[in-house]
Amino acid sequence: MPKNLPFVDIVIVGSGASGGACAWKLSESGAKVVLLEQGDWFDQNDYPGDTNDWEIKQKNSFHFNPNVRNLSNDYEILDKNSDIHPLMYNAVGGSTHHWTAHTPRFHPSDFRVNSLDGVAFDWPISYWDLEKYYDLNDIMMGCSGINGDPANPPRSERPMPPLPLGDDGKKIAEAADRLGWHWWPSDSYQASEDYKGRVGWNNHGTFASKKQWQSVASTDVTYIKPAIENGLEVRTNCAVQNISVDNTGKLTGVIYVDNRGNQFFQEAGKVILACNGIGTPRILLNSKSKIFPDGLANSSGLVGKNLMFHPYASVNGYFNEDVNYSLGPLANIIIVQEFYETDPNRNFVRGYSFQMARSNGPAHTALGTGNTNNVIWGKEHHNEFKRRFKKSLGMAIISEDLPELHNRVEIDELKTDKNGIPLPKIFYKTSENTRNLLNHGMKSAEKLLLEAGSYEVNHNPLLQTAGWHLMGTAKMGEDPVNSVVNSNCETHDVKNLYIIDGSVFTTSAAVNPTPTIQAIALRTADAILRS
Amino acid sequence: MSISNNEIDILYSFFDQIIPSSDDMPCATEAIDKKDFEILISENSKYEISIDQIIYFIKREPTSRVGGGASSLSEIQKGEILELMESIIPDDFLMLIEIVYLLYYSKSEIHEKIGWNTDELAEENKMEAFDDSILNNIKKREPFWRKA
Repeated sequence: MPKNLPFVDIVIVGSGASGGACAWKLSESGAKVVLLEQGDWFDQNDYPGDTNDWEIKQKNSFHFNPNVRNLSNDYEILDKNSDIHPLMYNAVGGSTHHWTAHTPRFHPSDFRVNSLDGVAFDWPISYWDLEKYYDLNDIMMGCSGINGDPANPPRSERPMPPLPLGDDGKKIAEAADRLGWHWWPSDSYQASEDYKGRVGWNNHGTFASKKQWQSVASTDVTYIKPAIENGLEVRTNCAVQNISVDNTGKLTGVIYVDNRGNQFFQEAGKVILACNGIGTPRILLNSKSKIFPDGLANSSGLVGKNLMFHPYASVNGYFNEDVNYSLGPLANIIIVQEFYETDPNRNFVRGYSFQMARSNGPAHTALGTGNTNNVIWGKEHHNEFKRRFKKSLGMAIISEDLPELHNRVEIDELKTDKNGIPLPKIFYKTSENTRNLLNHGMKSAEKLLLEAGSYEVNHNPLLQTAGWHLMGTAKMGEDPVNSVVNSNCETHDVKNLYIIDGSVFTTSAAVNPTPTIQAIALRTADAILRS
Repeated sequence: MSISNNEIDILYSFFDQIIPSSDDMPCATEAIDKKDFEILISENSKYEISIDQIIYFIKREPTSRVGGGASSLSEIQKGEILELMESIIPDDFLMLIEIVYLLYYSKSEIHEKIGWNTDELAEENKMEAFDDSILNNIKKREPFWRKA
C-alpha cells in the first residue's frame, strides 16, 4: 500500500519545458504546488565540453536517445516499429538540458490547417490567444533574436540581439537573397549576452564549449529556481505510476515511487501532466480503473494516437574554402520559411522550414552524424576527413507532420521499467505527403547550398535519429468525441486533470515546438488560477 | 562486459586498418592507448553486444581458424575480414568504427594536427557580433505570412 501524503492544491508531473513554466506561474499565486520529476537535478558543470572526451559523452552518457544513454532515470522506449527514434532527457529541466534552443513560433495559419487547407484539424485556440504568453516566455527563457521577420507577424522586442551569423551563416543569407528567398536570423533561447544571472555566450568558442552549453536556457534555471523562491516544492527521482480517481471518476491524486522503491499516494486537488508526448499517454494508459478501463481521459480513444514527430531530411554541402564552419551554435542560426505554406502546384499539402546546421566536432564529422555517412575507413580516411572537416554545412528540412491515427503510443503489457511501470511502444510511419514534402525540401536545400558556393551536396531523406519533438497524443479540441483536452488543456473526461506538454498539439506546424508548448503551459496556468 | 585480454588485443590489432597512418597523421594505435579502448567499452553498455558479435565474427573466419588463429592474421587478412564484417554485420561494424573514431578524434595530438582548438578565447575562435546591415535586402520584402 502506498504511503498517504497530506493534500496539496496542485501536483505537476514533469519539470521540463512545460512543467517548469506552469510551476512558476502557479507558484506566484501562493497555492501549494508540488512538482514531481523522475530525474534528478542536473549540475551544469556536467555538460560535456572543454574536455577532449566531450564527443564520447555525446555519443554515450549524454546521448539524445534514452535507449542509448540508459541512465538510471531513463525508461526504455520500444521503438523498433517507428521510422523515427524518440529523444528526451530526464532531469529537473527535462529536455531543455539537451536541445539547440532553436525557438521559432507557430504561424497564425498553423492553428487553422483544416479551414485553410482542408486537412487535419483546426485548433480551438489561435495564435493571438497565445501571443502574450509567447512574449512572456521569451522574457523568462531569454530570447536572442530580432524583430521584423516578414514571414511572421510582428512581435515584441527580443530581449537580446541575435547570435552571430558566422561566415557560413552570412554565405547562406546572401545566397537566399540572390534567390529571392526568405531568410531570417533564428530566434534562440541561447543567451547572446549575460541575462538574468545566466552566462552569455561571448561570441567566441565552438559547440564544444561548456560556456556555450551554459548559455542555453533550461527551465531548472529560468523557471523552477524562481518558483522555489515562491514556495514550489520539487521532489526528484519520483516516477509517477498512475493518476488516481475515486469510484465516481473524481480525481484524487497521483501514485508515485521514489528511487528507493517507496510508493506514495499524493492527494491533490488538481493534477497537471507535463511528461511529453510519450510520457503523458504512458501514464494515462497505465491509469486504468473500473470506471476508466481503457485508461484515463480516453473516452475518445485518442490517448496515444496521432503521434507527430516533425520528420527531418537534410542536405549537406561541401565547400572548398579553408574556413571555420564549426564555430558557433550548431543549429539555431538562420531559418528559411519560403516554402512554409501550401502551394496547390506541389504534390503535398502544408510545408516546411529550413534550418542551417553547422559542421560539428572532429569525431562527429568522422562519424557523419545526421547529414552524412561516416568518413570511410582505410587508406582514404584522412583525405576524406580533411575534405569534410570545417568545410561543410547542412540545411535541415523540418516538415509539418500531419496527424494520423495509426501513428501512436501504446504501453507494453509485459515489459516494464525498474519501477514496474509498463514501457511505451511506438508505432510510426512517415506518410506519402511527408515524403513528397521532404523531397521538395531537399531539392530546394540543394539549390540554396549550390548558390552559396558548395561544390558537392549529399542527401539524407529522413533523419531517423531526430525524434526531438513529441506531439499530438492527447489532442486539444472542443468536442469530447474527437479530442482529449479542451482549449484550457483540462481533460474532457476528468475534471481538474490537465495536460500541458506537446501531447495536446492538434497539429504540428513546421517549426520547433518548445515556445508553443511553454506558451500553452503559461496560458493553462492562467486558466487554472482564474478558476 | 566479459572480454578477455587476448580478445582486446585481437580487436586492437585491427585499428590500424581502420585508420592507417598518412604523411602527416598517425595511425590509430599510435594515438589510441589500449587502455582507452578497454575503458570505453567497459563504461558504455551499448557496445557490448556488437563487440561480442565482432569477436565471434573474427574468430570464425576461415583465415582466423587456420595457422596461428586470429592473433597471427596478416594486415591484408585483417583488411579483408573488416570488409566482410562491414557487409555481413554492418550495424556491429559501425559500432567498431564509432569506437575507433571517437577515441582517435578525442586525442589532443590529433586535435593539434587537424587544427581543432576548443579554447573559446583563442583568436581563431572569435566570431563577429551580429550586424543587422545584412538584413537590408530581406527587410525590403513585404510581410507575407498567411492571415488566419
